[in-house]
Amino acid sequence: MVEPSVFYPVNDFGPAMKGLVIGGLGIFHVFLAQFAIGGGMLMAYYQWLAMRGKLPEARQVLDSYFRYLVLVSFVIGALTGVGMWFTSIQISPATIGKMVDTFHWVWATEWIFFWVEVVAGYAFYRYGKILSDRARLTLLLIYSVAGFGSLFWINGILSWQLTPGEWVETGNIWAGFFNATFWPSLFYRTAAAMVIAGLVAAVVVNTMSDVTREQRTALINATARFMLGVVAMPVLGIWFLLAMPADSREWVLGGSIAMTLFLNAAVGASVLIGGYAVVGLWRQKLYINGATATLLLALAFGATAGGEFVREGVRKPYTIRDVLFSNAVTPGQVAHLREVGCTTDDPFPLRDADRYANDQLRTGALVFRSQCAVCHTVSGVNGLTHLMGAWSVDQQRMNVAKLQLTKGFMPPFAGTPAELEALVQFVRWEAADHPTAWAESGDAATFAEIKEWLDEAGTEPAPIARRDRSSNGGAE
Amino acid sequence: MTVFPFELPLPTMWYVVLLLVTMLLHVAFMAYVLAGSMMLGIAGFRGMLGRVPRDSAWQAVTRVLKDWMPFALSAAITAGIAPLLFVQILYQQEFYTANLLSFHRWMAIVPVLIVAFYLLYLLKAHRIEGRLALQGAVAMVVMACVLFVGWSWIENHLLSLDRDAWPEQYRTGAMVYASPAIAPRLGFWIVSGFATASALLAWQLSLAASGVAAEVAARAIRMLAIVGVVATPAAGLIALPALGFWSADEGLRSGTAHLMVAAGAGAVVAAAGFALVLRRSSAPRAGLVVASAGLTLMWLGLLAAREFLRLESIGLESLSARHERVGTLSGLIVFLVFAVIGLASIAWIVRTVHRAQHGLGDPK
Repeated sequence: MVEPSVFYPVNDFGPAMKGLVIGGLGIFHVFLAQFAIGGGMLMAYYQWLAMRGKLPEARQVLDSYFRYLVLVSFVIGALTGVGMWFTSIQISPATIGKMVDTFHWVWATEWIFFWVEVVAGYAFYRYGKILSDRARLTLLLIYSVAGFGSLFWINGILSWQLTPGEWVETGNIWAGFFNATFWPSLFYRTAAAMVIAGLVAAVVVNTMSDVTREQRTALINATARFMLGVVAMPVLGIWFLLAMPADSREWVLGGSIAMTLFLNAAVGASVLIGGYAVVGLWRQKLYINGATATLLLALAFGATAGGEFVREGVRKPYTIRDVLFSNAVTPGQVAHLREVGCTTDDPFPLRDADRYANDQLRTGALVFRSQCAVCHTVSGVNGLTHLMGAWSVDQQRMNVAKLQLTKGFMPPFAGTPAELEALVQFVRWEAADHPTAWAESGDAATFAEIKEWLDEAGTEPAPIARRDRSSNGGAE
Repeated sequence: MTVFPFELPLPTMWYVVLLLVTMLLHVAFMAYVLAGSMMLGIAGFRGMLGRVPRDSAWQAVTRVLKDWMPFALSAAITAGIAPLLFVQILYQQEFYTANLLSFHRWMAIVPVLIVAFYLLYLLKAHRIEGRLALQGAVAMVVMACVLFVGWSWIENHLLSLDRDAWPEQYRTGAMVYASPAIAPRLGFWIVSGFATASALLAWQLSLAASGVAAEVAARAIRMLAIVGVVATPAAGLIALPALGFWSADEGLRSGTAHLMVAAGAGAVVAAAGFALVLRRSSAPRAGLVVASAGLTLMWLGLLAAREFLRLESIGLESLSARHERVGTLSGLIVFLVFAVIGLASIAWIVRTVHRAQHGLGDPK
């Protein structure tokens, strides 16, 4: 039995692609949250160095505004995390709904970790100065473990979207949670969190006026040792790449130039940071001043941005691999929607129905809204008039009918031939600067031809996206 | 005879219970933030007019609020994550649709909360001490932020239940859902927030964690008890029309009757507890235990009645298949294990801080 469609109102983000909106917030959230996680670990490391007498001035960093930064970042990280939930609802309610349904106990468990993080963080912030060294270290370790725990849980959910593993067949959430990309992703993010925290600490140390140059150098060298996980990042990145599905790997290795460029930007920025950390700091050949640390931090932000873009992009044509296409249609629904139509039961009217020259265009606008709007705009970023504008009308019909073959990272079209023709006319009308008069198109022969193309393409995703379905994300 | 929510099918009942328990925790911090921001906002406004209160008890209350509001806000947000999770499981389509219909207006609560959080830190900064105009402006912006968030949640809740209004709300692109029920509901949350925050503030002062002198603390507790005595029964009374019990049909009223009786009994007990505190403000803990127990009962009754009405409005039959499917998924044991570990960690932290404050050294 086909799972019934749940219709949600679809918002228009104007010329901005929805992916840019969630990507922007996501990058900000990930960067802050990773800093808070790494910052907790670094504070525990400083405390250990100070109480062992290895680096007494580490206590000064702990009691400086670094602790405020970590604390504030944690709270803002938590808030933007809630913001991510809300933004995900705006972009794809079906996807976040499926994630929440499947992993609600994992999210509830993560919530426990949030609580421990809040209480430990505030206890250190408010009472750290009256606690014994041992208590301070234990508190910071609890804070660090709680922070790392929150990463552990959310990492399982996010990596499941790309490589859901045996969960697809068995429904076993632990098979989905500990999936093929779970471990490389977890270790990579942990290393990234430590690097970001180390760079922030380098900025803070450079602003401290109550330490000597020698003490500052000692602090920065200790911080560099904390950042040494950066040397493992290339290996972890390759591990992640090998663990992802073959088609996803092909997108980032040249199949999709945007993803390839973002990957290269992330790798390039990471190499620069890693090189500086290893050669300059650990080997003690260079001293890092505040300006350099800030520049490296900006590079780290760029690397995070590139990495997150790639992580979001490689899932195409799915948001949850093998389960849900980017446009919230399940693979099982495609054939059904080709019979009954994707606009037939949609209870939400058009906002600007009078704007369109005829009913066919209104249907086309509804098809665009349900099938395309999650990733495309009409004429803005990733706009259909730009992508399809140069094609002839027959090319447009055929390329949309065989969408998954036209571009391997696109889902199959899920609507009737009449809806497909309406979409084509809608795009042409928009590209023509929406004239007031526009003849309805589509005779029986045209619909028959479209149907033939739809049948030829089938209802399955592109062959490349099915290639390693049996191994569910394992390398070929 | 079984009572709500225990009469529901098992998966739905389970998630409703979890929603109620976690919501109760959220309400404690949320009430503190809501009433606290209003107290600080009003005090700030008076300060801007040059009417600085000379009463040291009132000053003690505002000092405690300034000190603890950032933590209370972050705790309210953290505590809110779990009920937000269970709302998504129980009423996914309704909640998501309301989110989508309100669009930017709804999303604005996230930056607004971030602004409020930073301003609360600014409010307690030594740098702006004595600058009454600036302090007043900051406190009033915080109050406005918190009220905006409260208003938005009520609007979202009501819109999620008004399925008939969805297509037109979408067609017009209106991001504001105008309902006459919003203002009275907000009034209820404010009044009940004052009742709850009074108890929490009185606990803080009585535990001497605030650094306030005993005599001043006693007078402040007395003042808070007066607020509690007035606000608690008022909250109970306002709840009846504000939350829609009066306007509900006979069947719904009888369905929620036992819950409203429990809430009313809780309000009476809480008011009695506050009265007890008023009589013995120098040794208020017994009264505060009674007031807190009463408030807990009141909130459980009201929150359960609210869920009853929500389930009736949406229709259980349209939800139960999803609940049943989701209810079979594993992970509960993991959650419970980590809940115990988490609680133990928090207990250790509280004990460690308590011992350090009293010079007792580290716990063994």
